[in-house]
Amino acid sequence: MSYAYYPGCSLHSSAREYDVSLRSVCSRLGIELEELANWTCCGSVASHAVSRLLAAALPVRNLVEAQKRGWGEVVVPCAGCYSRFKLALDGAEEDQALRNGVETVLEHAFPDEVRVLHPLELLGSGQVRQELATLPRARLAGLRVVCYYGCLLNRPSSITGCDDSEHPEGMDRLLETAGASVLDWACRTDCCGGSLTLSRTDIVHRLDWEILDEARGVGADAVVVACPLCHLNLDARQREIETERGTGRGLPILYFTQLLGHALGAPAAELGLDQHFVDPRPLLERTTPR
Amino acid sequence: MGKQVDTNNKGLVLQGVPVPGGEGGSWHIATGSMAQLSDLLAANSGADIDVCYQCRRCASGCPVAYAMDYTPVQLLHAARLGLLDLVLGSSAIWLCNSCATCVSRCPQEVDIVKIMDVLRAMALETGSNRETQDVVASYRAVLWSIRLFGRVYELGMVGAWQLTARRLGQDLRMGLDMRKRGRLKILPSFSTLGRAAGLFSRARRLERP
Repeated sequence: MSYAYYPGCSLHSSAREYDVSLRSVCSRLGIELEELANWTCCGSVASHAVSRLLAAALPVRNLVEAQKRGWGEVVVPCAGCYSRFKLALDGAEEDQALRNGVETVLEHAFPDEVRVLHPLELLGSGQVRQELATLPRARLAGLRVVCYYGCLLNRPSSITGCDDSEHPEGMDRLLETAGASVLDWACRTDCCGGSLTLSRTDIVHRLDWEILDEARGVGADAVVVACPLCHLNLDARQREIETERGTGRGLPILYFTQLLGHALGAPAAELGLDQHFVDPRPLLERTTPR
Repeated sequence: MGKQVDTNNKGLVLQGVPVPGGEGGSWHIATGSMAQLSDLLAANSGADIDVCYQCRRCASGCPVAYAMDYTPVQLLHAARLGLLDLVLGSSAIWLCNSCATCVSRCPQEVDIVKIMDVLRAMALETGSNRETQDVVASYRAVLWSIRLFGRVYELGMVGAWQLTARRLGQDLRMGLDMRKRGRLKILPSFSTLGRAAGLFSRARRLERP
């Protein structure tokens, strides 16, 4: 199996661990990811606040590039990018004028044949899932985690195709298949404050404290995420949050791909586990049987 | 003097008339039929706010409502009344994080995020909310980076934002720690330099014929 790969801006920089761990998991499962040459930004958090047309054209430009190279499916791991791609496709389907506008802006026909795929869909279904189920489950067995879906992967569910936007379970099931003990908790679809991280850090601190507090409350050893911005707010800002509250001893925040990679036996450096603010390595060393 | 709001889509222009307001100033209310602003929002977003029956689920589920001057349900109501200044000058439209909790819970299926997007685009032209100008500046910095480099150049984007928001040095320790962990690129992506710029100018030309 081979797919076009759109890493997006974060995975080339602040979310490098998500990129390397996804590549590691895919290569270990025999899935080939080929990065799209000269991909450009999906418009991120800003384009849709300025122009509906620009917000649709920016992601679709990359699908045009994929189609030109003969790809039928593009893997988009960042929840923010994934949402921008899906919203653009849905908008163009609903509104013929928007679709025409996108074609004019891109000076190209709409790339109807290209599908957008999140790694949770790629790894969570069919053959891959079965392969994960045959792994020795011991490597994750001692680990209690909560899955944090955040906003953009599941809302609105008419766009994302999420199983249940109030209580999604796709990531839970996938990690259970790989052997982890996945706990139920109340914050799985709460907002981390997202793009307000620079301009209104106070809001991010407040929202993320509640998420961290609930995760600890149910007895989780770590929070598992699928979004670079969620990870940044929960991991890189965790020290500030705990200092402000005067409590907490550091809760590791992992990408789901890092846990899958760990289950597959990949070494820590190959999964970027050495690049976190809250170091998850002591936890994984403690819970993984030798 | 009337207030003109030129939305960035389809060339629709909304006229507002002044009525006496507080502190010796005046408010602007959309002229014409009472539904003029909601009609315009519907035309530009595909979402109809006139079906809202004020159940307030949007406000009760909104994670940032506590920090807003008007909660989402209040903002929608104000938009239906045509209260231009209140809506476009609110902090709510910029504190909305597009998390879509409101969208997924609205019994009338009003896509409030799409409404917020149109209001934000309108507010960039006419509105001004002092409390949230740093939020607007952060979005402008992201767009500047995409237009110039084709991608978000995180270090440059944060630097540009800190300059415009006069918050130089914020998050310095986090930035250094990111760098130490190999998660902060010093240089932008030169291979995509200017590759998205044409999209910006063509989209602008289409929207402002």
